[in-house]
Amino acid sequence: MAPNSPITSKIIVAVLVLCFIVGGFVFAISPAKNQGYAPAQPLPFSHKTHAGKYQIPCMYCHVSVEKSRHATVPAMNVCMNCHKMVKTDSPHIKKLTESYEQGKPIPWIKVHDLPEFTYFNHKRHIARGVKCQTCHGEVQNMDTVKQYAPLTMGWCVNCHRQPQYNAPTSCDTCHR
Amino acid sequence: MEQHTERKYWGSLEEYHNEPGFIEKANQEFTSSPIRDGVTEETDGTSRRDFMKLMAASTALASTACYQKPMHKILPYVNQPEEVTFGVANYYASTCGECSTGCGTLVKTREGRPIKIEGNPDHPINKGGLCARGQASILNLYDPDRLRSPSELQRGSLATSAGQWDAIDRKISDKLKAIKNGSGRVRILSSTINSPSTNKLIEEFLSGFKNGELVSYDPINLDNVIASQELSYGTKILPRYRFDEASVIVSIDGDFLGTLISPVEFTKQFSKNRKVDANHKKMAKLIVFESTMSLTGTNSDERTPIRPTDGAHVALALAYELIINLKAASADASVVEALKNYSPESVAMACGFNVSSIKKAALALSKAKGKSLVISGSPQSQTENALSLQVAVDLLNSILQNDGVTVDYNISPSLQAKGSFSEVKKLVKEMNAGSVDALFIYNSNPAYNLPQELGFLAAAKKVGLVVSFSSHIDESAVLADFICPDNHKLESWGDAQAQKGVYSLTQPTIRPIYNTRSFEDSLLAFNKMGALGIGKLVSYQDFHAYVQTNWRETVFKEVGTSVGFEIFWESALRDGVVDMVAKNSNRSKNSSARSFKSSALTSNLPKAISANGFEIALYSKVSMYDGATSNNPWLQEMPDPVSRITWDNYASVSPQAAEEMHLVLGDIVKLTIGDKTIELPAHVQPGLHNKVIAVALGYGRENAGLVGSKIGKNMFALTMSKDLPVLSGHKVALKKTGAKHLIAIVQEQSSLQGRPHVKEATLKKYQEKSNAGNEHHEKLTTVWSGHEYKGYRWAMAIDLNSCTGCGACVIGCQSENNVPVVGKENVSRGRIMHWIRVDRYYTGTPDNPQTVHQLMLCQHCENAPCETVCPVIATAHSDEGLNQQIYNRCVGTRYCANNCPYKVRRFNWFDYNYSGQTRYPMTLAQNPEVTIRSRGVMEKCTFCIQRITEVKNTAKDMSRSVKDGELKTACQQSCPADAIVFGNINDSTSLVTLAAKDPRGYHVLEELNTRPSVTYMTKIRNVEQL
Repeated sequence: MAPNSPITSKIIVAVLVLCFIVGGFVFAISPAKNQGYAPAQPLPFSHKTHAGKYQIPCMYCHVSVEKSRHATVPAMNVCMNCHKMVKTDSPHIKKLTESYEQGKPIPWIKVHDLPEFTYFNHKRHIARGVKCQTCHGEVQNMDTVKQYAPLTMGWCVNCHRQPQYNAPTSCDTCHR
Repeated sequence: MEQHTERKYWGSLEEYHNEPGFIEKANQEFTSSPIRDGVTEETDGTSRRDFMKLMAASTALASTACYQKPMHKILPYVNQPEEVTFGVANYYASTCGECSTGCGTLVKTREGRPIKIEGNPDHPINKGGLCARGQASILNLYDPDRLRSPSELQRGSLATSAGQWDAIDRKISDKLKAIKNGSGRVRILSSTINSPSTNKLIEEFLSGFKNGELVSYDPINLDNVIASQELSYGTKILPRYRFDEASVIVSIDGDFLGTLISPVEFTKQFSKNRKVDANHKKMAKLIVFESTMSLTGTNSDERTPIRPTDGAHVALALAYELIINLKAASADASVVEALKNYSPESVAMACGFNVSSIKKAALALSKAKGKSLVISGSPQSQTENALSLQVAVDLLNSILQNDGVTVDYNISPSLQAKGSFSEVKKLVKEMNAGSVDALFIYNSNPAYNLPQELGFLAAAKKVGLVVSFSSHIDESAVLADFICPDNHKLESWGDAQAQKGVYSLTQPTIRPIYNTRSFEDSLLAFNKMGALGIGKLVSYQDFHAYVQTNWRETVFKEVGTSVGFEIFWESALRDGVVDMVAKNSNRSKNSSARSFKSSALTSNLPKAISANGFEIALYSKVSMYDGATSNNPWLQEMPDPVSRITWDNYASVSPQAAEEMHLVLGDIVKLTIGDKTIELPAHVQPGLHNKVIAVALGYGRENAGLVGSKIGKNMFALTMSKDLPVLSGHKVALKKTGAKHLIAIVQEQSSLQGRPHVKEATLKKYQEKSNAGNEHHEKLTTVWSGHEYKGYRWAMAIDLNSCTGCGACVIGCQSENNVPVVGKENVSRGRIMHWIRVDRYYTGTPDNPQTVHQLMLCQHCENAPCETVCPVIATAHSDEGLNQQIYNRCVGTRYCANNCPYKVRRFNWFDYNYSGQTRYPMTLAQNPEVTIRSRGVMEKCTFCIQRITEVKNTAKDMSRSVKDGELKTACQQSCPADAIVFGNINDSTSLVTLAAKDPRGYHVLEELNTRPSVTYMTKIRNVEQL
């Protein structure tokens, strides 16, 4: 077949269209960093044990959620508050303690990952009485943290635009 | 279009002369285009059709692979410090280290690193304002070219090797020990140190040697002012000038609003006396005689161009007029006799200006005795007549009864300049004779900014041990044997006494990023390591302990409080300043006048005026100052407020001289001063004296770092070495070379086309009616019902009377909003990214125009022309009055920028932030609350939405609404002149509402029916007629 002949062009177009279809399908079905995303963490920290069984309140560890925009993963000294004595024989605790003593933080994988151009404010939502479970699901029942809500802009706006919440809907609330 | 202004405003001489092609060029929004630049399908490799095919194919392939967002990790603290709340900023009070003025700062830190430097509102010198250089100094902390460890050097080479402190200390202290046992001739060369603790430590260190001495000098110096104070009054001090007490100010080459002594303090005081409103229709008067178009000159009411050497004659003519003609003041018979040769008529004729300039100035001064101020001292004034000029200025202040009132020599004199050029001369002589064993070079760059004829480089070779404490291998460090890099001020402990009785502290806001060590700690280490036997110093663990002990023995005792030292120390650290002057209620007190020594004048008369040829006037820019921080890209890219040029220095000539020699901007000229020649691009400066060539100092650095080296030419090298520094006034010959140089100028690309941007009136007319100059308002109609603002509605007001054009707001905004630097070539294509700019407009004739500085930023229009044309609604109007810009929505059509009549929208043509231009660790200075924009996205002023949100949140936490004045935008907060007001215009009592309703308030380009949220207040000039 000669290059640039009508048949060659048709084949190129067909291949491109196939790529689009396959790509689109893969994109549509993959959970990726979206609803349902539950990556394996470097240490198998279980919220079910800590928040569920032992009923440690969310804000004992996630201290900044009332004071700042960020909820934050707790500093390791918070873990060590208990774990310098509790279950010290466990290999996971041993790894944690070793990391702590060497001054190396545990590299947790971010589950609820909003894009850099959005600025979500935890403090404001806590002040309005929004429960953690509303957006994060029943975390106290999760062994591995799973993204419960889609966290898309549409999902946020659907709540914000309800008249009873009187929440701001202008773009610069989150986009700056 | 009807012309509603009586005055014609022009931004450039091309516009003034209505040159052909100028309007056409000005109509182009984007000054470069592939079509205009001649790039076509034939000349360029890829044809448009092929390009589209390639793009489609690669998009298709890319989209099949890219379905996953990148994974992000969260690294928690191992041990979270108590005072850190992630996401909340901590502010620490400290002192600015950019120059020896000693303004108090508040350093904003996030998660343990400083991200912004602001002025401390409680500090009596700067009262919350901070100049452009102080704000830009945050970037110097994160300078990628900073040395990361001490090093042993090979003299003459730039090569370093990462050394260890112990090893280097051992080597240096061994040598020092040998010197101590020998002739012990140790010299520390530095610029003015205003820190009492550092000075004490240096004194104690040097006392351990038989012949130890501190030699300090300042490249931008005040030697003449201090020398004349000693001659005139017998007191060798630098006075504190009180502009708040002066209603008439005469400046003879004294750029006090720009770079002279304490510009933030002076701007704050001066601006306060320039503000007018319906209840207060008085303002101070500023009369300027100057040899360059300085920032002070652009803010003057009356201005007369002179040559640098004429200054002394002008001062004496003023004295003549006051004493002999007006009989408004009196002086000794010997003084009167000496003045007889300086009649206003003879001086005016010899200098080439109208005698009415002198007469008017003297008359104004005569009516403000005890409430006026005559000032000089900038590099332009440092000619061979400088001492005569300063003595004449002292005489004027004395006969006008200003001494002790606006010239404070006693209560809280300035300690901001203690350098002495004659001491440096003596040092170089000693060095040449081989009588200096060790030389420490600290906080100075003698190889760069001393006159070449002094021969510092050759002399340094004869010194046994040379140690540099610079943060880069700069021009002076190349001469050294060792380099022990000093910490940045933000990493250091210290203190400052900028004016007598005003003590401030410096505290570190971050652990030293690299393996550097503060100069003071180095001295302590040398003493310990080498067992130099300075017993007092051994007991201190570090400089922090030293400062505390010194304060315990001095400031703490002076304060005389009943609380313990620890509590006092904590409160001093928190406040940042201990103001003994205010504590003793002395700040507004006057002192009795000193008696002026007539012999000072009679034995220091100036040289006769010689009118032939050009004279050179060297000046310092607000951005570059003395060139110490040339490597700071923010400062290099900050357009000079007068010339609007970035990334260069140039030889400015008057319009008449340019016409005679056929010079345009960018023509390279050869200047010959004595036996030295230098080539510089030419620049045409309206208002310059026809016989003056003005060039800025602070350029021509060889070893500043990657950004600042080899920009412009070093004019320090050409200065003369006499007993007192002679920077200006040399005769210079100028020749056109025919070559050209690209000059990146930001303003002269657009045209006002006769529209009333600026409204102004004389003070007299304003006193008659409050809306003088602002009578005409457009009748605007609209079909829209307008936006509804149920809650807050944010608006801004800018007072053209207060703004001096210093540009602190430009850098403040850049720091707060992560505004990128684009580089010289992009600036020349009109792609500069500053969200706020200080436009400069001339009015009148090019030989001596009047100037106005107008801030221009996004006007957040009600009927925004940009909002309607965005195809993807990336720019929308918020329910609080802001015009929002949503970066992730923007696709880069640039239609909005095209439609904006104010031309305030900036487009990211390249990935300025992610490309190699923003090198690590510069990224640490970025504000985490503001998105970093990538290529292809439009950006503009957001009224600091991140600050609005933060303050609203704080108010909501306390269940109240935002108080007026609680919320400050970055530009407003940085302004030393308090020219910007921001607030809620729905609140009828807020300052911004009062400004908007003020008869002086108007909108720029009102007739376009954009309905901006920014109100400008007319400029009132204190003149008889415009």
